[in-house]
Amino acid sequence: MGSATPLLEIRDLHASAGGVEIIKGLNLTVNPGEVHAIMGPNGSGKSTLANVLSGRPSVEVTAGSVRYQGSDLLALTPEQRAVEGVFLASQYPVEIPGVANSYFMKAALNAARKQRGEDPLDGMDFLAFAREKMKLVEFDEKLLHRSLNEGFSGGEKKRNEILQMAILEPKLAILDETDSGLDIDALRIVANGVSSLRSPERATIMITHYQRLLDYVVPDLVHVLADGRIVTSGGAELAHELEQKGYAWLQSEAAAP
Amino acid sequence: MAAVGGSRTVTANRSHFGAEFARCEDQLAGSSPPWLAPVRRAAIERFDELGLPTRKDEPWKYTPTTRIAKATFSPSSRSAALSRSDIARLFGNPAVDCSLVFVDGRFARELSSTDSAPKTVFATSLADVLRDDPQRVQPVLSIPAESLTRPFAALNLAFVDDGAFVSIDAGLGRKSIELLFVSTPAAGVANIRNIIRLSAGAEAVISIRYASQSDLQSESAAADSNPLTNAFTSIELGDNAQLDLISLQAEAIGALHLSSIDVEQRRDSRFRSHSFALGGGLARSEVNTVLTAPGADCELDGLFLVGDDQHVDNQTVIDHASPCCTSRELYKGVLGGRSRGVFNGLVRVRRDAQKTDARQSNPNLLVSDRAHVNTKPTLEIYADDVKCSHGSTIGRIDEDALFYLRSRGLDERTATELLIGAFVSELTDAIPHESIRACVRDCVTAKLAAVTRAEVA
Repeated sequence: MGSATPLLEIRDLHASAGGVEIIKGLNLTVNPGEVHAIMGPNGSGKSTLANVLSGRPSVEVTAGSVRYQGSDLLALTPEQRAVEGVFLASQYPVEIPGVANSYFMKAALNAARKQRGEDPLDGMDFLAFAREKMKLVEFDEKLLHRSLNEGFSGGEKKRNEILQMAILEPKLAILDETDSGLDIDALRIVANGVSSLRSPERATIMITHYQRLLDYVVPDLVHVLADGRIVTSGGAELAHELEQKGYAWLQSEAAAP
Repeated sequence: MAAVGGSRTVTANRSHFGAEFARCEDQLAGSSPPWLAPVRRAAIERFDELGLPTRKDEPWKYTPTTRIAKATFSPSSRSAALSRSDIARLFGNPAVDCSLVFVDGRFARELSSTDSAPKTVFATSLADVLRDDPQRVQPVLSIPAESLTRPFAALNLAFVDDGAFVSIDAGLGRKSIELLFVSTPAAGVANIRNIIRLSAGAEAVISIRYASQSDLQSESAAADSNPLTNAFTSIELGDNAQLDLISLQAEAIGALHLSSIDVEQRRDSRFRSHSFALGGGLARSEVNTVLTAPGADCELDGLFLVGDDQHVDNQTVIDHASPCCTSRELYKGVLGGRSRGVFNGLVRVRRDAQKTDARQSNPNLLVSDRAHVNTKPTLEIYADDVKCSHGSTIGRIDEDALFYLRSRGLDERTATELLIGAFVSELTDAIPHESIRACVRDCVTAKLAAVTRAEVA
């Protein structure tokens, strides 16, 4: 796989939000088939990185490049990225009263299918397809017929994100602290969702504050983000080390490289 | 009836409409009962006294009348023949008990369907009633001139001629009636007077819908040729009567539209208004209801959804004139292009109207940077034991929600449409009659797509 084109290649990325530089020269390469974990203290730039990759308009890329499947990812609109297979499981899924969850998911799936040159699914076919995926993430079908995330508990919202991921089958899934605030059962479900997507063509980036999700989904690589840069990378064992020692030692290293 | 003599009473500073009245009075007299001529004449004199509203008149603060001032009446002209399929194309074909069709304000018997109306429903044209059984409407039309305070209500009475007359008695379940008004490019002023009466215990769904025969967009440049609809609907609800009134105004952009709906509610009656203002270059909709006896309940829902240079004005008055009544009001505005929206809603709680429960709200969504909305929800409370609330908001499309939808692959326009649709759907969902609801929803969806398309490439 080494000689194949990386799925994602970030070079010397600088990005700002609200006029403040948050990502300060970040490099990262993700190959097909890999699961990466990005860890780091609050304010290190984890969510900003996720927002850069998904194309949130409020984040401004000031320098560097991001290539996805060999093309310039930053030139694409958020919806183009989505239909090309980039998926962001949001840290704070938005509640949208009046938009039915099922309608929304069908529209999202059909946008992706259109891009792949496939016929759209009608309501019945979609429901049959969604039911399979709902089993996987133990999703209550009642939630599918409610307004998008409206009145969902924190856990239900996260599960809804994972259901969307399972339905859309992205090539590059980015989970932005999907594990925060989840109990063990929900964590296991998130892990099931991620594991079900593991394949030689796909890759996942799990952004997390804690090590515990990594007990369920063992990453190929762990990166530590501090002050807008990846300061160290390693195997799954790095996560355990961080759990014991915290981030302080890395931050002092980052300050005096 | 001596038309010339009559017109002379309208003197010196005679308005444009006064002159129009003099020109048309003869034709109006036609087959009318004798008592109506003095009513008409008193009304036009009253109109001249009141004058055209100006921006100094609070209810007209944001809506100029200059374009309305020049409209000409052509009461005798019969418009181009329309077929039933034209009507179906314009309004769809909801399953209702009875539908009355009017072209440029005149009853079109051949396009109407009254045969299958249940026997508790009497629905026909006002012109027929004035000819055949005028006593039936004499009390409701014999309005003392001094009690006319709104110029266009006075003008409407002066030219009263045709419209719908609907009288519904209790029994045989909930009735459904459609009143459909088409304006043609040939129209001058369509002066429409509707009289609706529900006896004690009667239940009905009535829809009043306005559409233009063809797209008048191209005519909008020539200000003189704007057709004007001036509609006045009076509604009486007897004890325990229940009415859902759907009004949908989807006239062409070149049209001018004025509509007033005045409701009088008796004990324990229930009135639901579902008002949709989508069309017209300048459109104004008034809904006024008086809760005259305990237990009366009203809900006024409204949606104004406009774009381009449209101007839409909503005026509502809920008058709690009796204790223990409830009212709810929800008007939503969606404004694109350089459009302008006005909401002026008054809830008045009179001194004796203790235990009133009134809530009013007007959220607005600006889809364009150049659109404006003026909103003024007002409570006027003279009683001391009441529960009242009101509020209004003006917002934009939620950027987080828009991004969330886009990040799942929905293009910006689709996502925007979906979010606006979510904002307005509770208003269409509240329409109780399935096939009318479907027609209204189609109109709203099409308008919403057009407004969005103008904003998002």
